[in-house]
Formats: sequence, structure tokens, C-alpha cells
Amino acid sequence: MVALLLVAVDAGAADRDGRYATRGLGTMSCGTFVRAWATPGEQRDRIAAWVQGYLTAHNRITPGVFDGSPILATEHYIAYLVNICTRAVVSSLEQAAALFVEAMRPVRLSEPAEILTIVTAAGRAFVYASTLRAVQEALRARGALDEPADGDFTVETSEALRRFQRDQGMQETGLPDPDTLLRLLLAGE
Amino acid sequence: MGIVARTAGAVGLAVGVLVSSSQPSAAADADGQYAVRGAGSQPCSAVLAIGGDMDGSIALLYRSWLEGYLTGLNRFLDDTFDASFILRSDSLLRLVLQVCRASPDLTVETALARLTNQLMPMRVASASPPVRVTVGESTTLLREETLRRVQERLRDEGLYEGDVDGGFDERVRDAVRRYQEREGLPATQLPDTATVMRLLLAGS
Repeated sequence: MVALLLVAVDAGAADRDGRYATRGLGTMSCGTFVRAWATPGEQRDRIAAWVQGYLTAHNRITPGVFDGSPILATEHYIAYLVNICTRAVVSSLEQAAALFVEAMRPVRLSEPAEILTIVTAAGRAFVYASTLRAVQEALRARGALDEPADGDFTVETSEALRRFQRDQGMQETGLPDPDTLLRLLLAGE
Repeated sequence: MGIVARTAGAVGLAVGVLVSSSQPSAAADADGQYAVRGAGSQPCSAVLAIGGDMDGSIALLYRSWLEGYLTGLNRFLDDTFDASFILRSDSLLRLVLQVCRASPDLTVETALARLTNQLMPMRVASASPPVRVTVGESTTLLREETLRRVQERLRDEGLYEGDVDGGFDERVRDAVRRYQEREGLPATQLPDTATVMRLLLAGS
């Protein structure tokens, strides 16, 4: 998993003293959250619902933001929260969610974009077209892609991703999966 | 203060699919300005199907989504400790259902956005502990700050002469009862959601 740059959270506005009411599963301790997420059942679905509601409110409230995260599949999104909970000094699901939103700031979307479903022999990934364009630009900046960064997923793009993944010692899927795109796009951060 | 009016993005999940682990959970139409993820993208008809059971597994999913949404508002809004004076998520979901009944063409998120906009004048700006108020068998949960504003308004209405201290004693209870009688509200004697909304919105 990509090592996210985790800085102290100051993402929130809240009241004048920075306090805010956390509701529902957001108050879960990191330990409880990680265990519950690893256990199939309704509690897992409720965690997913809580996280989706939280990000939606963030998107509504934050000026100039369409989507606070380019990671579309909820399972992947929450895998990062689990990762944060096991690595960073946070105590609750809400704090992990706030820290992730902050870490996603450089790659968040300011404009609506089409969601692309990309299928290769290695599997399937979902990505915003504008994120794919940024991925292609990052590949071009590395000299790994000669094609234009136009948001079209081509064989050349897939091959360039595969080479990047090989260089990084990642699984070679040729897909712009969450780990690959974050490693590419956050590399300069 | 208000919440900036923005357009919610429509979302491409099949109706009835609330949580999907491998499918994308957000999408937007051409006019969309913010991405709505998960259950909030469902049409109102999906929550109307819940009926009255607020503890079934579908209702609990929506309640968790609402709680995440409220927490996000509280975290990211300025001068807001709690955007909703209504603390229980089953009460909030009931109100979302009311909005949806009146406007079935909305999505769950747009219905909730309307509701939270209505609640903003009554939001709790600074940290304040929850207080459980009980009369007989009935009970309601609200923040001390909300109770203080209720006392203040009852005093303005000439129905209460006690302290404005965020407490609940017989004098507050009697004032609430008189206010409910006067306004034709259900005589619960409690500062319930309908009573608090009538009192505080009339005074703002």
C-alpha cells in the first residue's frame, strides 16, 4: 500500500475551538473499526455507509471541490482508512477519515468528471477521466509515455503503467488501480 | 450563515444497491458540482420503502450514512459544533422521510440537504453536552445549549420566568405544555423536535 504523507489534521473548521460533534460509527476506536471491517456482516456495510456519508458532506461543504478523493471503490477507500488507523496517531474512525481527506488534497477533483471502467486481462479498475489524464501526464513527465494525456485508456497507457509498476515492485496489472495512481500522483508531494 | 447552494451529482448505482464494495460509489451528471457517494444517491422512493421501521437493516444503513454526513458537516463547517439539534438518527431519518414524501423526486442526499438547511438556524455553534429530558414515559435528547435557547424563547413568549440555565424542571415543563396548548402542538410536555423547531424558528 502507498505510504501516504500523513500530517497533523487541520482539515476541519468546526466550532471556534476546533471542536465538533462526531456521530454514530465515527466514534469507533481504530481497533474496533479495523476488527469490524475485517468481519463480514452488516456492521461492515454500516461502516461503508458512514464513510460515504462523511465524504459526501465534505464534498458539499468544501468550496471548489467536486470530490475529495479520486478513489472510487469503497473497499479500496476504506482499506486506506484501515492503513491510517494502523500507522498514524489517530484514535477513531472519524479522525482516520479526516486525515485521509487531508492526504487526498493534492489529488482531489475540482470539476465533475466521467467515471471510466477500465478492464484488462489483469482485472478491472474505476477511475475518473480527469484522474486518468493526470496519471498520463505523470507518466509522460517520467518519460514513460509518449502518447498525449487525453484521458483515453490506450494500450500504450497500460504498458506504461505496467513498466511503472515493475519499477516500483508493485503488482503488474497495467491498470490505474488506487495504489498505482496515488503512488504516481503523490510522488512529488 | 448558510450552506453554499451547490448541485449534487447524480449517481450511477443500481436502485436498491446501497453498499457496493467493488463498484464505484460516486458519479455525476453534467450539472453535478459535488459527488454524492453511497446511500445518499438513492432516490427518495428507496427510503420511502422503509415505512415506519427505523431499526430494520436497510434503515440502519441509511441512519449510518446520515450520521457520517452529519459528522462531515460538523467537521468541515465553520462555527458549527453540531449542525443538527436533533441528535437521534432515527428521528433524523423520519424527517428525511417527511421531506421525501413531500418531494418524491429528490434523492436522499438532496432531501437531507434541504433538511439540514432548515436546521441551520438552530445549529449548536459551540461544544455543548447532550441532555436527556424525560416526562413520564417519554424522553427526548437534545443539547444543553438548545435547551437554553428553548428557555429563552419561552421567556420571550411570557410563558416562563425561571433561569435560563439549560436545565429542565417543572417550571420549564409547564411552560412547554402551555406553549404546546397555545400552538396546537401534540401535548408531550417535552421539548420534542416539532416544539423546538416552532419555538426557535419563530424567534429567529
